[in-house]
Amino acid sequence: MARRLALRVLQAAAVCAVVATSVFVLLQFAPGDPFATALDGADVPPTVRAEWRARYGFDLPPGERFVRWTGALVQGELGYSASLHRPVAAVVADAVPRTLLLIGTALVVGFAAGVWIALVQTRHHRRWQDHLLGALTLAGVALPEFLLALLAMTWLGARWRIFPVAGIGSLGDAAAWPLWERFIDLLWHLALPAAVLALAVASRVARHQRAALLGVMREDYIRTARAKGLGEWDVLRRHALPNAIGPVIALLGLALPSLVGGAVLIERIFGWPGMGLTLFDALLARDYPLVLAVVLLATLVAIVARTLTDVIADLVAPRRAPER
Amino acid sequence: MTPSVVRRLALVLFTVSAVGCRSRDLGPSGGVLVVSAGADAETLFPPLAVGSQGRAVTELLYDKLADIGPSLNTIGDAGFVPKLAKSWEWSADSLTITFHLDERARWHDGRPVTAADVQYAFRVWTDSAVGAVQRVALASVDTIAAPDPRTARVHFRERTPEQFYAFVYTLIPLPAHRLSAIADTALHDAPEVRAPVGSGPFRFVSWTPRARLELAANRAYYGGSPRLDGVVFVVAAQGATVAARLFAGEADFLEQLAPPDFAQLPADGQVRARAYGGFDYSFVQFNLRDARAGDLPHALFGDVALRRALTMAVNRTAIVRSVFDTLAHPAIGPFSRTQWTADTTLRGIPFDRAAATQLLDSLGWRDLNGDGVRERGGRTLAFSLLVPASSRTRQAAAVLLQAQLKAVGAAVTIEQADFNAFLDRAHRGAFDALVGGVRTSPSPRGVRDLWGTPGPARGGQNWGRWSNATFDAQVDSALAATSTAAVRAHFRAAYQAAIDDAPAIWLYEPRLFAGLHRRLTVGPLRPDAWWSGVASWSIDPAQRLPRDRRAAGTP
Repeated sequence: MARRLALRVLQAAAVCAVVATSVFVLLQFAPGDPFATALDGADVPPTVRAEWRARYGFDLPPGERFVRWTGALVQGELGYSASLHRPVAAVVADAVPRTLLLIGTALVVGFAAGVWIALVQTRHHRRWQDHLLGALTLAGVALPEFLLALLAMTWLGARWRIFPVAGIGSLGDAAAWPLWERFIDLLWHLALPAAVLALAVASRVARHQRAALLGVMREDYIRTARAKGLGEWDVLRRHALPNAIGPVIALLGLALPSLVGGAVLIERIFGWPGMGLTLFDALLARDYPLVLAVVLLATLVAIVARTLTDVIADLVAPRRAPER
Repeated sequence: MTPSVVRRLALVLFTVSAVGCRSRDLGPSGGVLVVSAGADAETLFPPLAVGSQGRAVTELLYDKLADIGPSLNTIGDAGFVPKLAKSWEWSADSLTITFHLDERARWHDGRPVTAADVQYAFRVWTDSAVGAVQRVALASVDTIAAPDPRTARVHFRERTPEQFYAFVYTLIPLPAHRLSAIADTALHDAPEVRAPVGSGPFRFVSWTPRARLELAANRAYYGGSPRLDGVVFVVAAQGATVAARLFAGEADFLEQLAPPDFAQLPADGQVRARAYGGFDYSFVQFNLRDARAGDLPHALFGDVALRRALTMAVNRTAIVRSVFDTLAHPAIGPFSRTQWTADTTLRGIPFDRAAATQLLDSLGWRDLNGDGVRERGGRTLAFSLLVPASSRTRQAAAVLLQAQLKAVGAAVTIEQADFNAFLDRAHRGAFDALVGGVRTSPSPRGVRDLWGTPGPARGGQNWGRWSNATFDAQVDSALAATSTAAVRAHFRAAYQAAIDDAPAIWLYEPRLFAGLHRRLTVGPLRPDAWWSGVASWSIDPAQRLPRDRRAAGTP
């Protein structure tokens, strides 16, 4: 296990280096810089723009900028966000926990819901419950997240006013509120964006989990369990699920990059100020140091999550572990 | 009753009625204004705040010495409203203005606002290490003296008609006692700048970047306590979300309703639209120089007669009706009708498709091969129209333009580009024609950068590289004139020259509509700064919400 983890760390470093270099090179082809749009007023003379470009190194050749940037990165410096007038590290430190909360909630809720749906479908295989839930999960996979987000925001937020339309908290001095009140308030604001992301996760998990469960339900040990007089739910939960859940957990690791991608849109629609919104704003503002930092972090999160899900899948379903 | 008793009684009645009227007009205190914002403030440091949100917040936190008045006049000091400076006087040669600071003015930490703060702000604004983008407006200021703590004497290098406006509209006094120990280069992200201590009607409470910014009423404000308990900006980057927050009752104010928002206005009357003047106008700008060989005239648009023919072929009224319904006016020239130099009586090039066809025929542009597109000398009357992908209205206008120009035998290809790419190509002159739009300031000075002859000294954003000696001379004369009438006359001549020479098809001026919750009572909304009167806005006590108490920190 330790050897595998060490290998994973090396792989992660290599992937990060490739991603960082690729993104840096690609950004060189994008027109503009943070000062083309932010200072696009008639009263701003070209000399001021030139000063700003020089201050943040945008007047340097791309090669020199890359060397400077990687040199700083190695020393733990992520650079300075010219559009937000803050160090990139501070911007990222604000955003990362919020995105982890959003994605983490969506993953946990989506996974639990997906497994439960698959269990129900398997229990009622080829009956109306199976068909109904199958259709719903198909819709969950097919419908784009932004459409679900806009529908949820319009109906559950603006029309029926059950949940807040956007934001991460109610007005006022949250620090002065009791802990439970802050927690409830956070959940209330988290509900819609997390639910939209979780719906897609749940749909994918349910479809894969159902297929995996149906596969193991034909195994001999299932027949043995039934012969012992166990009820169908017990057979499913105690015997089928542990053997069918491993591949689905591994699937979560693969799904994470698309979840991060989905979070970019969801955060923007629901005004959730996490990494997705940060990346979106940074791209519009051509704030390259910030874009690079967020992309690097997203890569890192995806790699770490993938590694963790692999490890968990191995622990849950030891048959997947490689032979030694 | 004796006459003196009558006089006293009349005086008492007048006082009582005046107080009564005042209290009725002003409305009760309390409530928190929640503003739904489409973007966050990029900074809370006034020298760096250039966006609308940044300016809104910094100008609620910090007061200027004086502010532009409702007339939006920028010549001399007529109509300017005293703020930190309760009065000012000019020297005989107009090269010095002495500002007398209001002795009641205090920073939010209780320290008095002094002339040293004005001096410090000037130093910061003009230090290139800080990089204040508007510092060019202070170029005519030489030094600022502080003969005593309440007097700031501003010495100008030259006398200009807009020197007062340029100085007070740009420079916001900063608290020297809190900031002067910080190196200018470190001011951008200093903690003192991110939790600012200002002098304005509202004080800083908290800022969660890209989520929420909270301000509370400054009850010790020298201009009188604001009637609101506070102002909160809630940020959403997505257009639909910004409006949805207002419609859902989670916000009270939205700076600008987009045309699609009007269809979404709730039928319960909780939200209403309030029109106010705007400083925007849009146009189709022709590139008068060849995109590949910049020194040569453009093969099509170098010809003024062709530009006029194309202008004549465009029914701008129909475009405005289709794209905006009644939410915009057809544009007249290189200005917004809200600017005080605007002239709505100028002679435009009228829509006349038959005349446009005749003119094109006379210029030798004819459809020889029957494909619907005119040719001349082996070249077809075809060009591309660059449009920013971020603007739905400009895209819609471009499609209508394409159809209208096709009717006179001109083939238009619409090219969409992301806004940065659009700007990049515009700056490089890499386009045939583009659908542009600008937001001007109260000063008409910006017209020179946008439409004046471009040159290394001037820089500017005359992307089409139009050059007209009459226009340049009239604008320069206008900007040097000291009488309002003379300024108007020169600008009228300049605008007419621009209309006649047709460097662009002046398309439309969107009308601004703020979205307001019915519980909110607002005063006049200034086109350049809707927030200028927020301290006098009020919220109906009968419609207070739990969030008002919570946001104000009251049980």
